[in-house]
Amino acid sequence: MMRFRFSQAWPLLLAALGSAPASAQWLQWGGPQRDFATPNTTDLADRWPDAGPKQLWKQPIEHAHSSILVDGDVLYTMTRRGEQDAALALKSDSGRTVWETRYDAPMKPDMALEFGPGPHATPAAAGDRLFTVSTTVLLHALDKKTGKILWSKDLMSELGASHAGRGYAVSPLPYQDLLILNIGSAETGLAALRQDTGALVWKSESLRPGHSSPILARINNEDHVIVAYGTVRAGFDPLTGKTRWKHEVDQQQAALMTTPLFIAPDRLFFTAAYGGGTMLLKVSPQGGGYGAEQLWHTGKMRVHHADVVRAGDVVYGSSGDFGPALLMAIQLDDGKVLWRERGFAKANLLWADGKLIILDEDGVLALARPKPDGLEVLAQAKLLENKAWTCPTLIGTKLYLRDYKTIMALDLGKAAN
Amino acid sequence: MTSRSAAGSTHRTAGSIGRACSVGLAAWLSLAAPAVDVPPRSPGGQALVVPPAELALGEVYHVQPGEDAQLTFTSDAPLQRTIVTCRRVVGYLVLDYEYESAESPLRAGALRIPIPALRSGSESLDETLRSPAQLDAAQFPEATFRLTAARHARRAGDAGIAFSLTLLGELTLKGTTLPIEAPATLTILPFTWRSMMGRAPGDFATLRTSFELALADLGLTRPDPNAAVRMAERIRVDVFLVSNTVSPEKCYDPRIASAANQTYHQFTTLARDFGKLDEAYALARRAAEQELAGDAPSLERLARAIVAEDGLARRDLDLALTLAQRAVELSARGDVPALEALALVRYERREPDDAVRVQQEAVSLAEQRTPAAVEGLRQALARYQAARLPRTP
Repeated sequence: MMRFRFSQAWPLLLAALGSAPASAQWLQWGGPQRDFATPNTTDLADRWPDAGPKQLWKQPIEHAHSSILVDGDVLYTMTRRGEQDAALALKSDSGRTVWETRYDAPMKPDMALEFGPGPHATPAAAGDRLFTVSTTVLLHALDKKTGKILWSKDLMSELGASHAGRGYAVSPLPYQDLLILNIGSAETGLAALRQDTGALVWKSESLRPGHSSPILARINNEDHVIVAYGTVRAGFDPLTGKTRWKHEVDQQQAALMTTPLFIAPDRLFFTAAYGGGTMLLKVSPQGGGYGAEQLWHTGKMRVHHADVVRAGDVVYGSSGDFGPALLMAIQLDDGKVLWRERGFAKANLLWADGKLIILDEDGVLALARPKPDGLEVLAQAKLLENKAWTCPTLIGTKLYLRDYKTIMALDLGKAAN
Repeated sequence: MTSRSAAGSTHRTAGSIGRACSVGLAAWLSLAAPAVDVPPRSPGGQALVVPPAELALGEVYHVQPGEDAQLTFTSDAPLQRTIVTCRRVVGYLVLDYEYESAESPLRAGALRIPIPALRSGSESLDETLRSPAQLDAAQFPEATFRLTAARHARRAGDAGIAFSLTLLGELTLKGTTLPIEAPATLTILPFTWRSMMGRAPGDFATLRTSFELALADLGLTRPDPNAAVRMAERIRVDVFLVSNTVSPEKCYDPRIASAANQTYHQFTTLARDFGKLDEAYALARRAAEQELAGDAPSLERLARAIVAEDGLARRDLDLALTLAQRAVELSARGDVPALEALALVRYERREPDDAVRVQQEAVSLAEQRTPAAVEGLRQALARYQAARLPRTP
């Protein structure tokens, strides 16, 4: 019998001590796959008390739209303190502050700030670093454990990045040792910087500024950074910034704020409000490169700035901009709307344990089971205030959510409810 | 619950209308003669509460009052042509979600027409129209229309997605319900940036129809037989409704909470649509002292409505000044719109020196904070400066 040697265990022990298990991590906008899904979550309760699921803690917070990262027992998010942005590290079991780092982030005179100075973007955690972006495109790298600022870049000054009117809202995309962001200037569409130093590695061809956050897609055994800015839907090589493919849409679809969805092996889902509608694109190898073709477009689903989630062959989203929102299910094969449900304001969604977790802008949290012909709402409670625009974060059965004044943790599990 | 009047009309009790509205507007409307099966106004008064059964039928398009001649009544008599217009119709249409392929795209609809908002261009004629001998606005402040069917829909026209169809419904006016059947055109215009953002951000649907009614059908009588040369026996009614998937009560200012927005619309509905100025100003005063006491954006909005809203027969400029000054104080003189509103109030009160002083303050602040607004502010400043009396040497 082979004896297990301590020397063999040593790397495993180090690994266990040095990093949180993958299931306890939500390190970027949209979660592990940037698709707002937690496939490993089970045991969500089917109902809650009228007052809502079990509340673990609640703390005051100030205005921002950044969502909440989870890295083991620490949460990361952003808030605003006067004329400064503040990056926060909070204990996940109590919401108490581990550290707070502030830096000057004054607004520009030409910004439209009726929805506040942000920050709007969600940070990204990679390795030992936390990356934050302000509405004026000040990029900071911080030590995750201490909050110490390691380096910073003023991307408006250095690269001509755009605040896009209401403030930069694109959440950075970590890729290997790079950080990829939308710049949106006349010379530069995307830029990639080294995570360790902030040094510029590549710039892509020009793209319009926008609010949609990029995603990664593995197509034809190659990684593509997928973006939707203005009338362009495109895929880029994340290592070089070279354009892999590009697809033009009409101006009506230009105001796209949602995060695209990747449906393996080769389809991409985009949805835009203000009349833009929803489109499914197929990307295929063509002539040594790639081409993209639209499989279908429908004007029936128009998601504003919330997210969409996918379960099997159906995508769910809260359709509507200034009018009433309709929670919709749309069939991926052909864009047919399977059902529409009223009852919620404009909402962000998560997909977990075969259920939708719905947080609408009025602060109503709900758990629902989608069916072929409609939505079965299992439980709901009003827990936050208008405008609850931040997408919540789910780790296991723990849900972290915030609005402009409050951040809280809930346990959605069967045992707790 | 329904009852029959001595004249044989059928109408519901007022309670079913009053329940859905809040204090002020509800208190007044509850005294009004009720309507047949037409949903009540929303608490703000600028939309109707769509019943759940109709919400399930499709997408709601809210009638957008204010900009259009929504209803036009034309009397073409030998010696007089009278055109009476209403721009304050509220209501909704429900369209099938899949209207492109639906047999009948128009699934439901209802309208409320405030009688005091009918305008002929002649104040004396308007007063006559509202009098007990004619439309009796005091007892019957609203006319209503309920769509009962939309038949024979077929595609027509080039602009947008157009249908010609036959509208059937019930018009209730002065306690009497008339069946209406008229050809109509329904045009659906999905939102596009270029043409529509200035009007409203949702999808549009327009409804056009025309029909004739006898004077008696409208509850009108000729004052004497000789009036036949001035009042036609048959009145043509032209309808043009613009509706949008976004409610006309939608407030785009995130600083204004929904309750405050509702108060604003209650005020304008009472004051502008129904001419109930005493009630409206009482509501504004109470709100300014209570729920809006610390709400600078809402106080400023009310002040602007008093001085600038179309159709107010009397403007309480003292109240407007109080509201505007309070908004400026609450914002510590650091809010450009609040200063701009105060300057406007001063100007409307014929106090141009004060208007100029405050507007200059607004311009200076905007130059630092909101440069895009400066040009418009300067234009207003020039207007206020021109209103100042020349100083004697």
